[in-house]
Amino acid sequence: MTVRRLLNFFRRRKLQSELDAQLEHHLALLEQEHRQHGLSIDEARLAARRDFGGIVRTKETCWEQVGIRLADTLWQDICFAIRSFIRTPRVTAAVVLTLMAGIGVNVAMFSVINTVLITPLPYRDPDRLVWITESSKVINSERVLITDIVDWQAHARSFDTIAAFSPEDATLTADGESVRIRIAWTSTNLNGIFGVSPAVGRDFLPEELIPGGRGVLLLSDHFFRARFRGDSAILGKTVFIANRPYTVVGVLPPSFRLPLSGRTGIQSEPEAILNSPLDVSERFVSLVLGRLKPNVDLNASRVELEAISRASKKGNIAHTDRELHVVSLHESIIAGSRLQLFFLWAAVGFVLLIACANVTNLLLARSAARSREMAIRTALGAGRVRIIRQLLTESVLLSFAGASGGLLVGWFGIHLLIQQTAVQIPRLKDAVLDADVLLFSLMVCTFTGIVSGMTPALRSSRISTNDTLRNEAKTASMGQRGLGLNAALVVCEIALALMLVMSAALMLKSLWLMNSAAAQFSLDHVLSSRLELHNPTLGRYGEKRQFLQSFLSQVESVSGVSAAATSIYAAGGGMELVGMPTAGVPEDVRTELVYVTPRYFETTGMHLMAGRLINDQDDERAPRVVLVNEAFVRYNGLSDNTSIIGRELRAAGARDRAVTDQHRSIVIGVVSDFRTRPDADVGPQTFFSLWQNPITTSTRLYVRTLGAPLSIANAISKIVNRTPQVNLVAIQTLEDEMSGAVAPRHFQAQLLGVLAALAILLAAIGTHGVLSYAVTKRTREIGIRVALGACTGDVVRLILSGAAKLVVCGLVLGVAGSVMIARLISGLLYGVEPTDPWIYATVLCVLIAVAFAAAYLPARRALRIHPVDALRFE
Amino acid sequence: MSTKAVLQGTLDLMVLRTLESMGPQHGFGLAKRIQQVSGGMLDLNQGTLYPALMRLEERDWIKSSWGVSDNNRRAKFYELTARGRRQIAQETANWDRITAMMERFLRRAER
Repeated sequence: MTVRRLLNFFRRRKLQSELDAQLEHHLALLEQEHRQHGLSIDEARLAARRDFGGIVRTKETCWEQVGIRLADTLWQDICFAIRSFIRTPRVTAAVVLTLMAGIGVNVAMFSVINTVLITPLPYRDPDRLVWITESSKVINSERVLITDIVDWQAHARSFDTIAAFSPEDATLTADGESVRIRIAWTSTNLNGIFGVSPAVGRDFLPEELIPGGRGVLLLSDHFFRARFRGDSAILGKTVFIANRPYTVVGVLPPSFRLPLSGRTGIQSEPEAILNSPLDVSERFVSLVLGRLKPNVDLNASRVELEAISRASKKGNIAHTDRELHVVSLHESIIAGSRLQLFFLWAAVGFVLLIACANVTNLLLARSAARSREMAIRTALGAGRVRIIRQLLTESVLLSFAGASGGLLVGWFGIHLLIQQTAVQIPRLKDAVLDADVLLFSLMVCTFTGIVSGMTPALRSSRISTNDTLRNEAKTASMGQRGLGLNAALVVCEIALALMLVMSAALMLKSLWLMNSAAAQFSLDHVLSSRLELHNPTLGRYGEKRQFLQSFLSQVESVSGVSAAATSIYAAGGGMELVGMPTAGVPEDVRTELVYVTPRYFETTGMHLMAGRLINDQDDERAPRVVLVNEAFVRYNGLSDNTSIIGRELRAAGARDRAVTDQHRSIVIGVVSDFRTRPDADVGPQTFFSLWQNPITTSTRLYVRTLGAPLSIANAISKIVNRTPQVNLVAIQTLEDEMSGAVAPRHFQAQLLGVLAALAILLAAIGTHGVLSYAVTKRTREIGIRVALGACTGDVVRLILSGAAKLVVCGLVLGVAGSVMIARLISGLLYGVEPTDPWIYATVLCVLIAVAFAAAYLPARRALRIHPVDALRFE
Repeated sequence: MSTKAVLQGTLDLMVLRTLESMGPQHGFGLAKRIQQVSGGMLDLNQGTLYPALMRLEERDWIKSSWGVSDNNRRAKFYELTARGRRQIAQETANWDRITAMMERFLRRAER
């Protein structure tokens, strides 16, 4: 039907001429008939017309039947709207620009949300991919025992494939040049787990996935293009990863994405995927992915895996406390970004609402100015529906113009977002302006067109023709009353803007607190890097210890180095003090375990608060010792640092088992809190002597320097290059390391700041617009007041008191809304109370100042009103 | 009977029925015939016939083609389609039902 009507519109000329011919024929026959009854030519023509009825009306009714009339008037409305826009360029520009800003930010944000949260992962049957992990009550970490994976692969029937992945940062050397890249070791081929084949070259072969197979790797498309200029000559060549040879066998498809969290918790795409057959001697792997068989649900697969582990691990201590999780891969990838993204989405939604309110206000003012035009139209016979339709056409056209501009803004915004390297939102780089985004912006712009156009249209159509034409609308005494709706909109705008500014301020304060927390330690003089001890010739830890000791003393001998230390961070677990009253103490305090060399505290800048530090005598022959931080003391409900010294500390999980010496340590001292992550509070930490614990291959090296740290970095690199057993990875100052962790929040706060500024600007424009409109409407009233002796102060008070009412209402609503929002986003805040009084006070002052400025201009204009001109005004 | 009293559906049915009994007709012929059959009781503006024709054609109940009328003029002739025939049967049944029902109401009111 609709299609046919649309076609009718295009062949309307033909239809019209056909109808004309028919009517003419009919009239001619009628006329002829009357002539036969003896009437004269003129009389017959008149009689024929009388019999037939109104010709024009007949035609119009005909067009309505076939739907031409609707399309015709729509076309008329569009032409008329465009002409009227050209006549009022300033209002039109204001509306379009406001909409551009409002729609633009929404388009950009929707594109991100769509890409990150909604679009499925680029694998075959992505719904069947799951992330498998084990967490523990004792050890606060998420990793999986390799023996478990082997058992699962052998017995699990819920899965097609189970694969181990270990993301890592490594150095790739090709043609004598080295670059730092993120790599991922995997125990399976790509097709098996992801259902994806390399774009160039081949997948891993079965013989490369068993122990002893030669090293092969796949490059990411991006890295292949950036580093090897897309030249497939690299296929079959050998490159070195951490000084071991690997053959490049293929390149991943451009669309392939695998966002993996590295050791630092930072998600990024691997530049290369390497084969790594499962090696049971390594015990743990950090990431396990599985491909479920069709129609197997998550819970069933978890139950099966648990049963398999339990059957094969009876009585194994390392296993009893572990808890298995099976999560959809998509879910696990986006979980960390969801709150952040929804929060930003809400923020841009607010901006759009403010923009809508603004446009409504502008259109209301515009329609008020056109009330005479509407009255004349009504007098000439335009129906109410007809007028509403015309005004809605105008507002929808405006929002289409705004949306086209908004798409431009959005496109620009997406590019800005993608270029932000600091943002760690997975798959963000894939955000594009695609059909979904276009559809979304079409919806948004129709929504804004109707929302912002409906009220002005309804109001115009209700104008009393008589009063308007007689010029007797009661403008002189109308006062504030006629502004009810405009006023309500301004109140909403101010409230929304306040909420946005408030959340931005809370975020900014979080950021500031983080930065100042990091600045407490002189971190700019501490170098930090990973130190890998990978040479297999290093035997048991007696040898390792001697090697480390001599390596550290070599580093300390470099001029400009004041201290050096290594540490091993062993995740966390429950630690309990023996013989302490447990009342009021959290049952299972998760504690970070750090194994350190003696000069660790001096190097990082931690202060000794009580007791003594670890020294070289605390080795495997001496009793096991431990230092705790102040947070640990606090968490255990102790107020005095010294009261903890000499007490015995043991692993919480060891309570019910045979307590070996391994699990027992004596507290010898308390050190000050040291922030390892700037965006998290310092939790309880315990520091054990590295000389009393196994030394694993991956440690961290800290070096405190006297002068510029990076110049010393070169000297240290030289020592490392002379020492074949070690490899240094990612050397940087602790300060840089910290700021890397703050960067995403920095970006988020910036983005929010921009949105808040936009909101304030729009709200100010809205307030200003409504108040100037009020002044225009009340010109006569003000004129009379001045004529009757009102002085400057009275006039200004009149206008400002009107503004003050709106602003106060808006602020009260806004504060109420802010308190609610702040509670919702408290998870994104750091160190700031959701109801920080200083922030509230500051933000309120800023908004009041802006509102005052917006009200001041119209007030000044009111002052310039001359009574004589004013009374002549209408 | 005034024009207003002619329900839209009524005129449609009259047109369809007339076309059924007389075969293809142009607008003037139809108007004449309807007036004739109604025995002068139906005094409608002949123009109102055209929107009805457009509506019926739009619904595929009738179709039109150009031809030459008795007085050698080009005229558009309308004829029934198969769907139109079905529509007549359906509408007639409707009418019978309504008139039978109204009959009962009116007779009862008389008593």
